[in-house]
Amino acid sequence: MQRVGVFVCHCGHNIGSVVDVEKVVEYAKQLENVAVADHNLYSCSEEGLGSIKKSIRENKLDVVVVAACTPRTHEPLFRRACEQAGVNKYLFEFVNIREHCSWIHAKEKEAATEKAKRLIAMGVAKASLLTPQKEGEASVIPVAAVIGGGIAGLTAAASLVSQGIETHVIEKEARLGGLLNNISVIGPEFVETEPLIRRLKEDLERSPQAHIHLESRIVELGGFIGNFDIKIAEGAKTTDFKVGAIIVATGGRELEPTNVYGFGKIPTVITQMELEKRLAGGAAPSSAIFIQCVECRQPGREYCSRICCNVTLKNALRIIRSNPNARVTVLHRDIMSYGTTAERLYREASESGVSFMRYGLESPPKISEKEDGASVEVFDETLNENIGISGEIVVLATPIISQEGTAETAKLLKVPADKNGFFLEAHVKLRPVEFATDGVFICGSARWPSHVTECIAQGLAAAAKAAIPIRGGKVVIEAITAEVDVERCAACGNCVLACPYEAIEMTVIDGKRCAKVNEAQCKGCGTCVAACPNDAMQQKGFTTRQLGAMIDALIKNCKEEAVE
Amino acid sequence: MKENVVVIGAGIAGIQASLDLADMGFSVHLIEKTPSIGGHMAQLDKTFPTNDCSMCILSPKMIMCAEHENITLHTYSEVDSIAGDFPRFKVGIREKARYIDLNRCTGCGDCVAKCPSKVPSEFEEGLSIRKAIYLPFPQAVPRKMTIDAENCRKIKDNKCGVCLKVCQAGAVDYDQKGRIVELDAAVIVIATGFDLMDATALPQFGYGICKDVVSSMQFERILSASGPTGGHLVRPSDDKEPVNLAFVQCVGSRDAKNHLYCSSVCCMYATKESILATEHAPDVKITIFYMDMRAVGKGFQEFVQRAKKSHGVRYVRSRPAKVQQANGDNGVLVSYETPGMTGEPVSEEYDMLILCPALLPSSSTREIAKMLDMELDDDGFFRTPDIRYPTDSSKKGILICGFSGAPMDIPDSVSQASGVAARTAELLSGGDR
Amino acid sequence: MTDDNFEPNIIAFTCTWCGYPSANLAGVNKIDYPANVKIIRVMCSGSVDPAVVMQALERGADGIIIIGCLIDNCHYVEGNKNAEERADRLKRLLNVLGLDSKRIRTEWINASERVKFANAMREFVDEIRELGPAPHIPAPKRKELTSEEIKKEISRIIEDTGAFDCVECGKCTSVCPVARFDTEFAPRTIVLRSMEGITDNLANDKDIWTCSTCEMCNSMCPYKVNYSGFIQGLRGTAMQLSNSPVCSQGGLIQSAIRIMAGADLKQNRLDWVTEDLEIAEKGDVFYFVGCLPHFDAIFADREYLELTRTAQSAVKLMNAAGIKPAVSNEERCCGHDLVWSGDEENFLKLMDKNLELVKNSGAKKVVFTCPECIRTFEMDYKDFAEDIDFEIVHISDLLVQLIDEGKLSLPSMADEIIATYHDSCRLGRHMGIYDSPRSLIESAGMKLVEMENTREKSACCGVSAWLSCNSAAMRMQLERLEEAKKTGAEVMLTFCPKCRIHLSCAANEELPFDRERVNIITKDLTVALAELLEGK
Repeated sequence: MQRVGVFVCHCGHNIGSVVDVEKVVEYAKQLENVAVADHNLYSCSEEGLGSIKKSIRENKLDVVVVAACTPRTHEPLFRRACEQAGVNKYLFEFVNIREHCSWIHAKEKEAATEKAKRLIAMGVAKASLLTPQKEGEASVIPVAAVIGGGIAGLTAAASLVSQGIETHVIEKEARLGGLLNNISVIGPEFVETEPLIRRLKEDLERSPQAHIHLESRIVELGGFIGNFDIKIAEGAKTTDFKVGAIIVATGGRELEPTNVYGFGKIPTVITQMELEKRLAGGAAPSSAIFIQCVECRQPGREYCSRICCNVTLKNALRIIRSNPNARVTVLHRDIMSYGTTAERLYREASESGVSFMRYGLESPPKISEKEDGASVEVFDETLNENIGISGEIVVLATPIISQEGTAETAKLLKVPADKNGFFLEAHVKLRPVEFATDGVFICGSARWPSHVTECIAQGLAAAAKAAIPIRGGKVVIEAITAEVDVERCAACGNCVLACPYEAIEMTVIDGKRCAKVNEAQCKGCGTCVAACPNDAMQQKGFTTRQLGAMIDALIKNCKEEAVE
Repeated sequence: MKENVVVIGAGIAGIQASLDLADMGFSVHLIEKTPSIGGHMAQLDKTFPTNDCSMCILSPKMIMCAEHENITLHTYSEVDSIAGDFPRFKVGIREKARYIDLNRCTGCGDCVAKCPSKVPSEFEEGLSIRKAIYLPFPQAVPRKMTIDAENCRKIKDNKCGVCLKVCQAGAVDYDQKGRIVELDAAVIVIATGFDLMDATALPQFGYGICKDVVSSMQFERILSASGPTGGHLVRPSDDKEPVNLAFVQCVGSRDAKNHLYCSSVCCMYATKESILATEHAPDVKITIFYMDMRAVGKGFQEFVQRAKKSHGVRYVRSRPAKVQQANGDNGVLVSYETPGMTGEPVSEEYDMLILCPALLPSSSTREIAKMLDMELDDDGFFRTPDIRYPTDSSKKGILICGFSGAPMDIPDSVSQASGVAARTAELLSGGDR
Repeated sequence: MTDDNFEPNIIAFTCTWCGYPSANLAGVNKIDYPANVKIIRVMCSGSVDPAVVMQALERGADGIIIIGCLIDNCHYVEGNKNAEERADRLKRLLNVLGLDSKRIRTEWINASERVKFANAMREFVDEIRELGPAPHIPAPKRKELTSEEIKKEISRIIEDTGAFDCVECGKCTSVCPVARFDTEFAPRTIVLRSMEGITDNLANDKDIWTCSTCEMCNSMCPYKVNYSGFIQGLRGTAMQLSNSPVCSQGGLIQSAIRIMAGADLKQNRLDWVTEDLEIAEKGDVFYFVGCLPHFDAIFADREYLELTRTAQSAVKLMNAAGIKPAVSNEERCCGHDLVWSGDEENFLKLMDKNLELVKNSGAKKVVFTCPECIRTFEMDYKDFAEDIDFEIVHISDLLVQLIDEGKLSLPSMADEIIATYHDSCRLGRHMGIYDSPRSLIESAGMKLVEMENTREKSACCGVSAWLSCNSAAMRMQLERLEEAKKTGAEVMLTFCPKCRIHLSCAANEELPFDRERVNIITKDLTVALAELLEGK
């Protein structure tokens, strides 16, 4: 039998002026398993905590119930006090009689006192069934893997190596650099890419901590945070290694236009990448027409690919800078030059004579071939009329789309992709470089089309996230996880389907098929508990027995009152 | 010994940087000038494009900061001085007197109920009042009171003293003095965020002149369930539900006379606030006057399409020239030119107008820059000169994240904040590249 | 039903991330709501087990409200969506039971919506106040038995079931389907222990609940020991000693049945009766439907089971033969699952209600589709009640008789379907009905192929009375499906709704082998015959 101690807080007037604390304490004393019940003016004060700790020791309490305010702010404090007095911190139950009682029932003191009694009876019922829990620990293999050797992946890898962490870079092509291999200069500040990539490569190549695998792809992947097993096919051979964390940096690719705007028929209609190649070779045209939002921001592919406007601004200015007389026109639907430097680039382009014309989705430009290039007829929304312009080249700004093989990578890593095929982060607002699966991170255009500086920032962010468990050497495993009663488990697999974190798998224990919770991955939500038809799955600290006991305590309590 | 890292500014960028640095094992000192951490994100009702409740996702991080063994919070504190160089900076922190013993205050609020001195609430953007002794918002961290000396009758005039009397915890101390804490820091992270431009500087938009012109942050509070109107969409002049609302984008930004740059987030938050407004008041009609609809993030275009198609939001590409009082005290008259070459000047009446002003580098940004003798860029943000290190300032060991480096949304700020942790680890591992 | 003094007991399950904090904020802002609400914090709304909710209603809570994050904003991806789906199923069940589905409510509130929280509480309390108290079912009474009394009781059971004839040959264990997979289980030893007077462990014996009561042992026992009756008796005694079983679905179904036993209910059992069906209130023939509507609610995620179609089909077939059966909204569960889980007290209440019902209908003949219901009437009711003067007939026997008499003719099938037939234990071994189903399949023009284990040797679906669902059961189910698949049949026909439920469970989830091996449709034979009648 558990010895339960109940400590009721007055919280000054906040509880004490509404709830008859002394009466509640007397009531608590006669509850089953209660060894001692007491009250404090402020349980959370030094004095209050001191008296709770003293009582735990003197009364040899096994479990502590505090009836006061909210666990959201005060639970850690009381748990710490329990620990200091030698009671496992999970043998503690918080009953909220302030926010959930005295503050809302201030006008009905009687009812508030009765409610406080019942809440405490429920708390004691649950507390009597609590079992000690321990946050687990798993060791972390101090090695990271980065999938993809473009700017985001290289940055992540270089940062990890520079932090002293052994890192594998897995690149599918024969050389590092990714998309930037085909782009010589990036905006908005016209930085050359070759030295950027070269320095990152050199950083990695000179470090014994870095292992670069070219022409490689992952063929098998298992394990979880701290302990992943990776098998890669590297050219003709396969290699195995273990890592503690994985960063996905597989990037994106330029959409090849389908047969729109004469692409493929009119040779002077080219893609942005093709233009990059020509400009890198020093050949600037005398006139150019850029068409923005080609095959995006339209039904079927609704998204804006974020970077194309700035790429166009950069290339328009490169043309003008090498040939001040060049005629450059940008046909667009909105210029997306957000921020400081990009907006300045937009202004500079306008001031340098680049002409910007806005077209509508319903009246896209029409292209026809000409002897010395192509001519474009467009309905200018500002001028409200059709305009004909001609250019030596027409550049189609197509969006960045998700990388080839994303679905396969997603499946291997058990992480999700969004409807456009980009990887789906754990939370779009606050966890942009994490997956819901612990130990796997994401950066760069594999998540969403991103500018180089953004890719670098995300690469660093992913490196930080991967470094945290590795530096710590261990990961703390949530104590409030699900656990399987092997005997009861029928191996129906409902829990596997219900788990949003891929934390449950079917396994065989002593020749018996049953579910197994990987505690390192379990977040303790308990959805599997409700999905289990057999009560075989239980959530520590919230077992159905404990909840049932709370309900019984409430009802028993009410019936007794009714009898009175 | 754990190396110290000082993080200046406890908005979402500073909070995230602190958490990641602390998780890496550094000893973090997080400095915040207001009484609570949380920054602007705490004021937001929802976040785009998922309309996640802002406080719901922020509050757990705030609590984590308070509980982390490697984080020391210095709220209601400012940087007094910074000296030295990487990796041996000396930082002086001025902890202002809050006249409250933090060890004793239980945050119960008995004192607030009795305090007679009423002051416009900063958190509610002046739309409601707080007391001179106050908790800036219910989820504040730390959940401890602060006495604002300027408005306290006891401290100012030696009258009143009621809070001392009602506090059963004995936490009120009118004689408390501010103090300077000297710290060694290996790395300093600046996350000083933004301020909204004061739109009274642009009288053509009617802010401060017409009652029913509000800033977007004020509107955010009006929409918030925990805000001054309890989530009821009403306009300030007569507390009536508006039927016809308009937003004006790029107020003071993308404007050669004021701020050249684009604040990056206004298109999306205006779209979000429009959707939320129609959710509060299904019949409300909304117009957004914009220049370019910059919906460049994940799910953003779809969000704008949703606003158009499902919520009937009208997007008009035009910048209003003039905002005047409509007939009587309520509503406004907005004059603008219809889009296109044949644009004609028109005037339309709206019940309420929301301005999306330029988001400026915060005043702290300028102060810190001055203290460090660092030059800011042409737009007033910290320079990050090397593209390889987008969070490194021009001074080694001083790192920048979030809005103090350039306008950006929450996920970009959070990414940079984590990036700063990686850079700190690199710098302090000696493996500098 | 309003009682001014009625103060409802309301339990609010709140998630840690939004529900609980919104309640906190309501408190911080002193927004009052009735004190009837007691909050139980859980991590996620998705963790609230429907069985816990049902148990709360059974024991005396009057309303349950579940509060989670806004849909699409779940802290745990989509726990709240799961919670909503589960709540919907429970509401459906409550509706059938005649407890108002309003007693369960879900609310999606974000952490800062204090007013919404308080309003939801106020509204809910008002609504429940209006509905009045939920049935409070007292826990079954326990007798304080001395060890002498226990011994006496067990001797009586041994006598009643002929267990003293046991010669310990072990045949029962060798044919027991449970023992095949659960090596620790041996029917023989249970009997043996009792025979030797070792009864002290009855209070803790889990083996008595493991038996699937399929009667494979009965049918194989050379001395005709009524093993299943023996187990049934032991279970009743064990319950007196507070040795209760682990029920699957968390005991939700037993809760629902006890509510049917103990409460005055305005049931909605007859929603399946469509306009084209001819039914009567009274008459010579009474059709006892069973708990099909309840199972359709509980297993709504397995829509394809369409269990109430069985009832519709049975009526159609009888109508076609000119019979207009009486069906009743006042029917209660036959009590099968209670008597087999040791709850004799509530079983008897159900029996009384049902016998009264049949009596009042004036029926001379009661027709059953459900093998469990007919077994319970034929054997258990007859055991406990004396004045049963009506005829008890299974639909298969009835249909065969109608065909023989020329009152019903089944059109032949255009394309011959190959079918196999699964003898459920209750209809087969318990009731001895093997031939009529087969004869019906053949008169319908289907080609019948038999499984390896058939008729008296038919394999068990693994579970009975929602008690013995475990990995052994799962393996039994998979093996049965595999057997069916091997016959080359396109469909596996049966009469037992529970066999279909249990087999569908096994075939639905992750499998350790190629799904094709067990991929066979199960279908209710009554439904198949009615379809034929309709030319489908």
